[in-house]
Amino acid sequence: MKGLFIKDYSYIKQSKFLFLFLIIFGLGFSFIYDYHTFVYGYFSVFPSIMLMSTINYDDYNHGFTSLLSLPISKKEYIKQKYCLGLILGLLFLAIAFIISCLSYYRSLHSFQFLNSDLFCGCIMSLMFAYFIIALATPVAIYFGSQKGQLAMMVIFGGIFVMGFIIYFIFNLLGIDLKAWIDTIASSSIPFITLGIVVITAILNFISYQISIKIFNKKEY
Amino acid sequence: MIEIDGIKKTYKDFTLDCSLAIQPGTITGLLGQNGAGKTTLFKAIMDLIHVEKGKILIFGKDHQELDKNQVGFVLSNTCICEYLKLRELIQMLNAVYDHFHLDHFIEQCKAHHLPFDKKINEFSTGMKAKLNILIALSHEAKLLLLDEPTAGLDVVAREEILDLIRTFMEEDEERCVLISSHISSDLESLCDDIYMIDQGHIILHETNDCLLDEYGLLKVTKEQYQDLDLEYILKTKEENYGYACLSNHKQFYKENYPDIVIEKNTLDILFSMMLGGH
Repeated sequence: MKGLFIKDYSYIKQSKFLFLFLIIFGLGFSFIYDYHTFVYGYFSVFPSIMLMSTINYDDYNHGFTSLLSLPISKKEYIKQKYCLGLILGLLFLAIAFIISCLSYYRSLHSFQFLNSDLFCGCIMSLMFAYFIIALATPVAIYFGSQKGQLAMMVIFGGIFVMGFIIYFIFNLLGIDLKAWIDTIASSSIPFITLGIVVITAILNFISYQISIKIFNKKEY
Repeated sequence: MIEIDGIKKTYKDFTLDCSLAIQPGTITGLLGQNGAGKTTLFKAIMDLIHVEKGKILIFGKDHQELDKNQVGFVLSNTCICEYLKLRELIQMLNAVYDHFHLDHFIEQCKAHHLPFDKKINEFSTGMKAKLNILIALSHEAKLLLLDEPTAGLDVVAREEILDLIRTFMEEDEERCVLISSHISSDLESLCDDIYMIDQGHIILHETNDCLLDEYGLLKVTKEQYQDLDLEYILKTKEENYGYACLSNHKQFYKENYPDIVIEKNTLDILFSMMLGGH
């Protein structure tokens, strides 16, 4: 697995300027608009995007054929991708956390913002990143590099549309969804966070099993 | 070392259906046209495709349990991780293989003028082919599976690669190589054993010595053909002068038909006759 990490690190290293741009943009947006938590949502989509790009690189020009001729099992390959997703999620969360702390401190001139709500929010954004990984990885493995990007757009578009439909239905029923979420969140946010962690872990486990099945079934 | 027994793989308009055996200490050539099934066979051996029936044993074990540390695999026109620079690829390979000869590999890359700070996808065809072979030879493999390793190369580069394979075999007599090519001269100078594949089926298997010594091309007029004993004629092709006949007992015809012109066999002749004759 070490070799696979070296490979993916080398790929990701090639995107260092994009990385820098994302950080500067996140930093700038948080500072200019005093929107301290913006970076959590903003950075939560990047782990999956980076993970998918490593799969696309692997698939480039019959890449899987060559890769699987090395002493790397299909299961090991999939396992490494989910581990990488885990690491990328933590990495981007750490960056988001630093930027948000800087932004908060600049406004408040104190560390009062470091409370349980912020930490629960961090975990939730991390879980959102892992949720997208759970959704996107089997799709990328199934469709490969060429159709994979289109499939990703469909998935992200689907999530957006679904969110919009749910919001629309609740509005039609006269339920203020935002207020409802705020009420639940303020009363039992640690339990909700824990629940989301458990659900995300289960989703990732299922996603991992599906990815292995797809990968084993494919021919190279 | 490799036993392939009645494997079958069906695609929409192609079926691979073949058996073959590769002995330790031998270089076995797989000769066939483009699309004959050579690459499919290699992929089946490496468990990159699923075969519908038959079995493949490598070192006495099912191919799905194959330890790929023991195999050097080259597939024509593909390279490992083409987006990486050679320097990065070396680090990766060093971590992936159990017995990667790092220093020797770096020396070989330098000797073959492979640029360390260039991405593999920017390499020329010749550079990629050399890199593929060097990787296959870098980790104490016992078996080399080489699918068209010399495709698209000039004569000098081809000879360099064939020399690397010869050196690999000289180092350990238990090693073996399965190499495919549609350039028959490459196989003629290298192989101990030749399989010919066409439309997914093995149509000929002989030792190279036998093919060169015992096979011959008889050039006969129409009159000579009438009197010819056809028992040892494998294929016949109509020509301007009469008929070209491929025989696997050229000595018989030399002795019994002294007037007939018998050309020394080459793999090119064999290839052309086996595929074009009737």
